[in-house]
Amino acid sequence: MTIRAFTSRSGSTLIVVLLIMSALTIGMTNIWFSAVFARAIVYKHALSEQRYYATQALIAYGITLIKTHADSIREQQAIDGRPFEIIHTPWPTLDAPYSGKLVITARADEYVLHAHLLDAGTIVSQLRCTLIKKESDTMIRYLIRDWSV
Amino acid sequence: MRRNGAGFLLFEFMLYLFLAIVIASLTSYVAVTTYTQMLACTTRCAVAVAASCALDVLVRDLRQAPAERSSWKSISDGDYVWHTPQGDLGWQLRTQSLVRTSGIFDSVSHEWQHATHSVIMDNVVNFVCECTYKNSLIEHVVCILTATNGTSVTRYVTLSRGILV
Repeated sequence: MTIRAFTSRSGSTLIVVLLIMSALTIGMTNIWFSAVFARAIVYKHALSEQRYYATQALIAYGITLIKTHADSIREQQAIDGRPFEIIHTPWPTLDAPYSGKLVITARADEYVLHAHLLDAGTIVSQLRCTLIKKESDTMIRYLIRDWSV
Repeated sequence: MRRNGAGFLLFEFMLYLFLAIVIASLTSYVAVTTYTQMLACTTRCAVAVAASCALDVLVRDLRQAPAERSSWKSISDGDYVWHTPQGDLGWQLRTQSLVRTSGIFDSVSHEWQHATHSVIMDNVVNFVCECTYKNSLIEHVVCILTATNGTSVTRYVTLSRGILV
């Protein structure tokens, strides 16, 4: 039995289209997987990239701290005048061998975040940024300003 | 199965269709499974980071806390209040939320007066600070925070020169 609706030419076209669609599906999935795992692969194999991502992870943790607990950090500084300082060996969001230190200083309307990445006690990378508090009727945002390495 | 005219066999069509469905289904299955696992991992990671942040804020407060037991107004499961030069400071577990409170605490009525409450973390099932004493001083504090998804984070705060560090 043959499908009369399709000529042999349109039948071939249909098959080609199906194959292309399958290939595209697999291709797109591969691209997605690559995008997801590329960072992990780079992180595992390149030390400089590893330090870069470790520093990013450290600063991301600091920004999370400021965004979620800004008022508490400011209150704590008001009590003894010292900035918020935390040191973790290892850092909760970093893999070994790195550890980290974060110093958050609250100023009038901004927070200065200083991150130090340590490898066996030696500073191997550091990053500093300023977060400015922008308050509106509906939300509070913290805009990052003045990155410096 | 000979072709008796232009077109292609139903069998051929069914075969190619079946192959296409199998490939698409397998790809979708792998993608959905991976995405679900990644979503679960992301949620677990977010809770762990939130718990870690919460305990870091607590440790910073404990650094300013007095070592004398008499300066602590409340030490019980999920409720810790101490005195600072700027007023009283407390950490409580209230209906699955970890709350930091600053203000004036009445030890007799066990209630806060003129207090500011900050919700530090939601979905907390257990919050314990185990204090170890030496004479009338707190030697060290072990803080344990457990979230509803089972994630548990611990911080060990030791005492140095009469000050919690």
